[in-house]
Amino acid sequence: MKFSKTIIAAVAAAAMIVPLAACGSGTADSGKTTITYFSWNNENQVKPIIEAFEKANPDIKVDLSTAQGEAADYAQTLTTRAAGNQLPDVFHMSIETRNEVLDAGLAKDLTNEPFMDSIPDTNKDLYTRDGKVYGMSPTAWVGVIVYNKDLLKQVGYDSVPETIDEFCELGKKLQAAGITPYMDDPTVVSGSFQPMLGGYYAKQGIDTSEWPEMGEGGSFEKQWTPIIKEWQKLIDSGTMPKEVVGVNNDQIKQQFMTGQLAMFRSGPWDFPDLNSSGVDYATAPFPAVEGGEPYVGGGPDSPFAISSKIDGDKLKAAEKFLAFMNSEEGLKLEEKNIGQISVSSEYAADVAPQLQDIYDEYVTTGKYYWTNWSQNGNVMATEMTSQWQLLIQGSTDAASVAKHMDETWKANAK
Amino acid sequence: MTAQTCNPAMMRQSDSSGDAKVGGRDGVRKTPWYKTRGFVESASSTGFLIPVLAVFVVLTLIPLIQTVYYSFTDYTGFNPNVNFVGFDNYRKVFTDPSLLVGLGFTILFALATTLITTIIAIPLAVLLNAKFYGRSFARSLFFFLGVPSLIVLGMVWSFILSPLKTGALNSVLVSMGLDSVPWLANETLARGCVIFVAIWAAVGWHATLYLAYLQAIPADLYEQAAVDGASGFQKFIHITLPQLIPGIVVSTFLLITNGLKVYDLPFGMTKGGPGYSTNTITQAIIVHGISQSQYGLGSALAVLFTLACLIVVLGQTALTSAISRRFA
Repeated sequence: MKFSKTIIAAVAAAAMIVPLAACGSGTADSGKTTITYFSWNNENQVKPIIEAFEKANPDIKVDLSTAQGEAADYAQTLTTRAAGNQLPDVFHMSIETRNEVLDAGLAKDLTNEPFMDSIPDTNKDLYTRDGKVYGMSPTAWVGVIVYNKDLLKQVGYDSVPETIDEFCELGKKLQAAGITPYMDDPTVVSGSFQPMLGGYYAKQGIDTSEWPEMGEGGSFEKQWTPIIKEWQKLIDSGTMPKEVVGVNNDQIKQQFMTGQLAMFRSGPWDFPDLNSSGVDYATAPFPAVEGGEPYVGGGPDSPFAISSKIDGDKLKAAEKFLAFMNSEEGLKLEEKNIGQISVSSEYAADVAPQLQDIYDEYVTTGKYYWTNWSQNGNVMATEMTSQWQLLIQGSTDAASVAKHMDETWKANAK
Repeated sequence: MTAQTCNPAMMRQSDSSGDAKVGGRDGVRKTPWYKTRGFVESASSTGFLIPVLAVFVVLTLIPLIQTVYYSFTDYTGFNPNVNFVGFDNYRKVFTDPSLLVGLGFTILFALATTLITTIIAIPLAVLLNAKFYGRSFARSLFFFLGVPSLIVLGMVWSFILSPLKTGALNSVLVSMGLDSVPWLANETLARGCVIFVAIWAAVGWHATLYLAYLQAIPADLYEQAAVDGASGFQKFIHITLPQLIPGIVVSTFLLITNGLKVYDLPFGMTKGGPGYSTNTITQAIIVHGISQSQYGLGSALAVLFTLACLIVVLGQTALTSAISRRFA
């Protein structure tokens, strides 16, 4: 009896401890080099691309993991994996994690890799430090206003006006007709404010050294306050309802697809859903604020990076993977499955017809903007999102928002 | 088997006359201490603690020590080279308005859910303990509310409480000729909605807990009270409630600890908004520590929060012990 008690205790101890040991276990596929890849996009989008790569490289296996959410979710998982010394062999270095990844020396120098030759300089600049490039971004993203042609026609419009005052006028007419005019996702950084800010910077010719997000002396209070005041017209005119604060992007898209919302901030990533809804839609740039010009949101997609901790066969396999992602076949698949727009000279983008005008007039001419924080991207993005929610609610004003942004910037200065 | 061998007293006598009395200083040989029954029994029992102890050390104690260490550094999660920054992270905790708002909502949430859930769950348990048609179904129904994951419940309720006119609840209000309500778009309403859903989800589970305690109350206490002419209310106050004290201790302990560490429900419903109004401390620890790569700050927050929880839980334990003694 005494013996059996001891045995039971030992078995129980082993049963509790063995699963912990399993945390560090892994699997191996004999004869193949396995690389881990942490994708920015979801599994359904990426899997066909991985399958094509593995077919072209039968000696390489890609162990795929994905983040199912937004930029913050990706950053959160990447940070956790880096902290646990489990950095993927290939990962994406987002704007939010760029500084931390480069500071820690976690990304391999890609400057002289052959697959970097076809990447445009603008896409390299963001991920360059001390003359060395650490990220490969062969595609770009673009955020626009998607509008329901039939609903706009009901109030006498064929397209979206190009100034914010005219846009708000359209908003009032839609409200009078019982239609919700416009919404953008309030749980992330405002997708409408950013292009309005970019259009203002461009029209005014404000040097990047004056942009507060560059950390070279410009203040949010000075540069952002007038544009925030202009953006606030969307709320004051009722063009964007205050209730938008309590909804998420899925709910907004659903409103549009059921014909209850006339316009929302979106992009090519939503086109498959919108096409299936049967809504007759088109795209437009964001209207210009006073002193600005129409602009779209956008920038280089989060670049591929190779872990600086790998070498030998793994490194060769990772380099082959990046070369494939920047090949004609890879870029075509990324366009088809993820809706990404190639800016690489390896493949000329075949954009969706709904986006063609925007592509020709704005993307190819560089009239797109998104804030690239030079420090603490996630901190600033979180603060900005919260401040905008309060602004929409009417609990704060433009000056206070800009002041808070300045304070947060200074409090987290490095 | 003889009567002699079955008698434990005789067995002990036999043992002592056999092994233990042979040899030794007085000519009696003693059993080595590590072979005595008491030690072997004690060692076996202690063995059962090893699994729990191992898990506690690996999953709680070591991370706790690491957390205290990181709270004094500028660790980002990416860079293994850390610098000692003294109390800088602790200073930031007390000067960041978003963290203070989060702390306020966490305390409000924990207190409100504990108090209101307890006030509703006890009468509900009494009702579910009474005999009526469909009692088992009703018990299952209330218990089921606490089964799904809170993040799933949060997402479902975010659709129900959508502030748009087309939201599930607002559609009903509008169809009745009433104005739509900005449920999750208003700071005060959003806080109220999150607390309401938490209570809605918890009340059935805690009623089931009380039900188990109710069924252990001796029926003769009620019979004697009935003979003495006690009313239903008097029975509840003087018999049911005092007998439920052990249950109240367990239930409120679970509610307060779950309330203090809440993350999933507010995140699923509002992601902490509008602004920071439904932000909780646990969410702040995750967001600052992991999403924003400020492990040092997140760790400082976690250390302070652990201490605060310890104080709250010790206080609550002392209070409930005092109440238990009063009604013992």
